[in-house]
Amino acid sequence: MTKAVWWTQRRIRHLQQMAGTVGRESAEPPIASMGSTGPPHIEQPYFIRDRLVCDGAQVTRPSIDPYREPVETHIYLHGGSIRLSMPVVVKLDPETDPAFFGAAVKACYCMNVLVDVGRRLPMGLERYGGGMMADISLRGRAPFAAYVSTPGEPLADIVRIPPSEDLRSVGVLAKGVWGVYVDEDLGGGVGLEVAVSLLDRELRRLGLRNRVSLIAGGPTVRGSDDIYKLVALGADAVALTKAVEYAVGLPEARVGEEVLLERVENLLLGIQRELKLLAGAAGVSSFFNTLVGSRELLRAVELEREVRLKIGVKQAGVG
Amino acid sequence: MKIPRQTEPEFWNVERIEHIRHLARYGKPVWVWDRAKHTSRRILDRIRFRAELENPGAEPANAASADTSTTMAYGQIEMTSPLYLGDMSFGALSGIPNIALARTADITGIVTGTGEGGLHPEVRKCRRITVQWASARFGVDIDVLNTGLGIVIKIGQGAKPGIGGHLPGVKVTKPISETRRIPVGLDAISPAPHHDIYSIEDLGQRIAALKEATGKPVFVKVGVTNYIAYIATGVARMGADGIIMDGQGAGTGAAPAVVRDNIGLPIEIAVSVVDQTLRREGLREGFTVVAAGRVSSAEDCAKLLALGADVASLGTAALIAMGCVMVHKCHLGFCPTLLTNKIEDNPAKLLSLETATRWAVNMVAGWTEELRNILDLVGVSSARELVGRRDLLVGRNVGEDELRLMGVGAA
Repeated sequence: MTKAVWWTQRRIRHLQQMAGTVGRESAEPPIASMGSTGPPHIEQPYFIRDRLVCDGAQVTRPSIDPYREPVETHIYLHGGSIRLSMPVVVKLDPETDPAFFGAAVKACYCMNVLVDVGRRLPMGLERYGGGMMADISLRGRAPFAAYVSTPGEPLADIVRIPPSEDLRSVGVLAKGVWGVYVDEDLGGGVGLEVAVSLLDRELRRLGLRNRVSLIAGGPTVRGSDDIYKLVALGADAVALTKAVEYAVGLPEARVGEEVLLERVENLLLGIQRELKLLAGAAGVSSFFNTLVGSRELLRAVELEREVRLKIGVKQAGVG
Repeated sequence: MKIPRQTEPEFWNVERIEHIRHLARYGKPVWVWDRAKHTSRRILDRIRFRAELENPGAEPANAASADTSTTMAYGQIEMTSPLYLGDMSFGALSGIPNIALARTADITGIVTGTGEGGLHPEVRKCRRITVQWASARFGVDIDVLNTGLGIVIKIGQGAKPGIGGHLPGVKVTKPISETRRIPVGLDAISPAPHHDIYSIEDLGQRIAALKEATGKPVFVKVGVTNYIAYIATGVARMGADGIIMDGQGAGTGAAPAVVRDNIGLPIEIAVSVVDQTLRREGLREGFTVVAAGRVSSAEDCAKLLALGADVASLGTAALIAMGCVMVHKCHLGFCPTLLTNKIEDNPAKLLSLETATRWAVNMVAGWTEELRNILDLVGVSSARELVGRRDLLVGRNVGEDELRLMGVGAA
């Protein structure tokens, strides 16, 4: 099976290093040297976020040193009743390799990250869904791991929509749900950045943002930089799909559930450490309090004015 | 050494490496206009001198009379060419390259920055260096501060603004341990911020203290980030003699890839915005603006001057002159060209100081000649006169908003 063009060798190797699928430095942010070869000016940019750069605090405020000082990556969903260790949702394909499915559910449970299992948990994994916080009746019983079900299912308190610019029905959609989930797998014609940013601002305008969580993601999310930028544009959490599969070596890998479990855990820990580096560099000590929706921490390099206005990010060089 | 085949996108492609190697070998100009500029997506490569577009085949006639000399720090430091060899530390580089670069400055009359982590004893003997006061203060004492032409307070660098220096443990061998006064084999990760500089006012106090202690000019080095114009005016107001701005894409000995690839703005935007802002605030005269990050040819250098820099900083280019083949393995300590390898006792793993120095000196000479040609063709008599001459440039395939911000017209 061929991988989409934005899944460059560099991207996949980076995730695999963190997962421990290759190399010896698992769960560590990969170190590089000499100048960047990334987009937009060397590698080809594929998405709007490839033209967004993150801030680094110079003397305007102190940066934070994540090797020595705390940076809080946790975020809250569902009005505070779901606490995730980082703004990450792992979305699993129900048709995927069962060993990987089980491994990912367990790893996410362990790492306190939300899993989106599509329909329902397969046999044998029920207890990992015990903390299913979408079901209000379970609140407080097991506050961490959780999964999200599809609309129409009994536990669906979250509405799933494709990335879109159409905001007419947001108020109606958001009524009675605790979250809106922008899912690229449902199709849609606009970039995640645009959908997230518009939705975040619309929910704020309607006075619903504190109650309604915003999750977004899909197969174009390639790692912690994408997560960080989408959170800064307004998402509370970002869904990874292909990123996790490629990181653990799927579809080629032929390894058991235990190895896969370890790889997913390593990957999530690596992502969390990278998120801390990005936030620390910008002087951000808390994702939930400072980063969510902080477009001021981003700048756009050679992005058309129209798109820039939609996502609410200033041009690079503008103070 | 043969340049390995490049299979992934790379700014420092074979064409650029070959050009610098040619300068290093012969010390003579290779081309008039940069022929490698069509190979990347950089804004700077799409900004062109009007002179080139109007008369692409013109040959320089009076290049010999073009004056490349300039000064830094309100005239306190004189230079024969507007080139600064970037701040690369002893540790990141393996010793011989540090000495070669420092001697190159003495021989050619430019300036070399020495980076964080104290001075190699042979570097200390060179005159035309700046010493660095970075967040971990590795190797800093009053003798070191008094050694060079000036002091650089390192707030950040282009490859990792907001993150401290990082020397992987594998490269912390005995000589490095002695110079930096740190244990052998342990990662030397400098703090992200200076813990005594949390604001621009704090910075002002440090600048004043360093000046009082040494009487030397003080420069502030920053990575280019969102508020670069405010930062530059703040640095100028706080009494620094200049700012070294390191843009996106600048080199590093080791940095987390996610930080290197996502933080920081292109230098070409920053230089112009900063120059315009400093002029508006009445802070520009005498204050030095050094531009760094992907400066790959004399044409890049000339464009950065025209956009508003006084001096361009070469880091990667200087390494390429000494043999670098751009394999991006500096952090592992086994550089195939012996520039950034870990320091060992094995003399076979040492670069020839004489050769490295000759190559770097030749590169500076050839580079300066190429610059002279460009000065002649664009119709200015000196490098100083070129500074801020945005009217000599035009943008091709650059967005309207970007050009307006940079103060450059469209082609």
